[in-house]
Amino acid sequence: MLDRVSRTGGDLLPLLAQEPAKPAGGAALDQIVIATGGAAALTAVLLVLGWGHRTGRITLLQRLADLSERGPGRGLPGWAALPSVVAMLSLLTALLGMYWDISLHISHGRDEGPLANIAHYPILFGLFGIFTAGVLSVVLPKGERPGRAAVRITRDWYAPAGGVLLAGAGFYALLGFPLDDVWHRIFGQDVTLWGPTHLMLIGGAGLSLVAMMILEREGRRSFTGPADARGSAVTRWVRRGMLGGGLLIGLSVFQAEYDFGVAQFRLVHQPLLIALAAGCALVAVRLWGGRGAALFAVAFYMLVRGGVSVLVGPVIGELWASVPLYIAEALLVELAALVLIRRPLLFGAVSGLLIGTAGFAAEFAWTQVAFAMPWTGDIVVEGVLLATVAGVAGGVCGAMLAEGLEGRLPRPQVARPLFALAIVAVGVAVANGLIIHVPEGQRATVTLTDVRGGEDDRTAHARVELSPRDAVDDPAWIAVTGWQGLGLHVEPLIREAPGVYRTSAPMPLHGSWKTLIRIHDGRTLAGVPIYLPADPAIGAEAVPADPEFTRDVQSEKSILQRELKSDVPGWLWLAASAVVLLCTLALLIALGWGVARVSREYPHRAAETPREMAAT
Amino acid sequence: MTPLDGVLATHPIVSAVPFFVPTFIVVGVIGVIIWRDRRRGDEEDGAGES
Repeated sequence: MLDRVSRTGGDLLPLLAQEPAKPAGGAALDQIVIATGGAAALTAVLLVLGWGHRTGRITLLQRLADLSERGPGRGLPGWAALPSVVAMLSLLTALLGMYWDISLHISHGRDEGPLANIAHYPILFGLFGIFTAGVLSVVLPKGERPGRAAVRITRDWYAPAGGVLLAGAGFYALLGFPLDDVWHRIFGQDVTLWGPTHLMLIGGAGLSLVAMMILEREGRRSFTGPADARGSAVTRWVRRGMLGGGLLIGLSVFQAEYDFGVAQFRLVHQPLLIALAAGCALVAVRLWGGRGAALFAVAFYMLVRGGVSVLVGPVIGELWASVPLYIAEALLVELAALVLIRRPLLFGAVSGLLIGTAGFAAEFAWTQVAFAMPWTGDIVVEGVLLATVAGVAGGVCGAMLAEGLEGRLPRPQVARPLFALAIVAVGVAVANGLIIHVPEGQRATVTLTDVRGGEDDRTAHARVELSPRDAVDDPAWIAVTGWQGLGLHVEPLIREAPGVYRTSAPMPLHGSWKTLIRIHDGRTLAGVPIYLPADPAIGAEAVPADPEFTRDVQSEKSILQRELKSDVPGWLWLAASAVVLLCTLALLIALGWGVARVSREYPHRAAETPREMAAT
Repeated sequence: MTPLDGVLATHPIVSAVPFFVPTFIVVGVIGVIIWRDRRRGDEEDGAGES
């Protein structure tokens, strides 16, 4: 059974408790040799199969493509069917690896190298699989031009635009690995999901769904097989619903810190990100798939994300990741569609508005039961505002995505500024969320009452008295967080009197645990360390948990991310971030180009619109 | 070998090898094919490959 406070689904390996001090940078050479060997073999297989296919010497790829054309990729030519299957399996692998990996980092702390952590392997294989799927789609079409939107490789070799973009998204995600390592070298390990290079890893995978949607469109319109192999309207509805659900999952990965209850950023980001993902994915899938597709997408989302949470939590025995509900948002989108489906951009904007307001209310209620750090009144005004901005921006982008896929993208003079405006709006909203304030002159007096007093198993209750007493009025959270002690302990404090709080469960104060009080009120984001072990690899001294002590309310970053180097000049951080930002904009613009290209090359045919025909 | 007494790669690019180089090679191979095709196009324009 899941323990709500410790949030673990099983016993953690006790052996690991005796591990030696961890180095804080670099990778062991043996790990690199093993991984290089594996990667070289994979590359060789991909190159040989591709070369063999194009010269006609090896028919394995063709046979696999034919097989997937008859099976799960029904109604798509092999060059779209096989990559879709490979990409879907790869994405699931990467997703499992990602949540497993985050869970390990929360309970165990930083890695000893890029391959010291077992969960990095599914991520690596998953991302390489996405790249491979794209390459397969580029390599497979032989002796035919794969549709009108295809990109010329040589005079007699054309590749589907969706395949090129899929390979590009995989490439972008994999680029995150080396850049991540360089980043750690320069700035120290950033133990947060929201490091710029970490965002590349997960963002590339998440956005590959757009490339898969483009590939589906190209494949369906180029299919020349017999009519009975085309696949029914239901097949199409289900496949598009799954792609939409996949996009919802892909856009939701950015919320993972909030799902685990260890967000290192302001709480208002969570409604913002939920509204952005719901607006974009649900509007797109409802327009593209037809009636009920938004609800189906959420069902698919629940199945996959719930499945991953169950696998990582109870099955593997790591931490439980909560899942936002999205059902209310899907219902709102379906409702808006009843009235506005023929005016897609307005439909997207109105859906976003509903998601940012009514959807916010539904998720607010859901967080009270499902999340370790539930939303409070403190974030309502700003949360609704940011969620509405993100919801509308996402909804408009989702509408343009679906319209582009259906060959009805608004003309470039409208579509381009709208796309740019949406990106800027989301950028400004996120930037606003990142602005925090660390109070000065506030102190906390903590009195500990030991529950277990041993060296290796000490736990204690705490009474916390803030000074001044009115430092916090209606906080977004005031909680004890303990992590990296082979588990996670998140527990909101109970208010006894103004400025006086106590714990409701004993907190861990031993071994490698890092335990602190976290305070978040409005823009204030700060912490008070209770217990931190010595960490010789980064030159950090222990912070002991004396029976009674008074400490400053201080920046959380220096407690939660002790690995960060403090002597790096600011311009270097800006320059490095700019490189990552440019890569990200390049990917977004490339995907926009792809959508515009399929829209131009495959203009809408009146007979195929799913809006008029319910899935039968 | 425990990570503590193991040799650490001292340059970031080395530890990035398995993650980055395979994709780089594949992209490079396709890039070379494109480059050769474009160059050939100037000399024997229109001649298709069988």
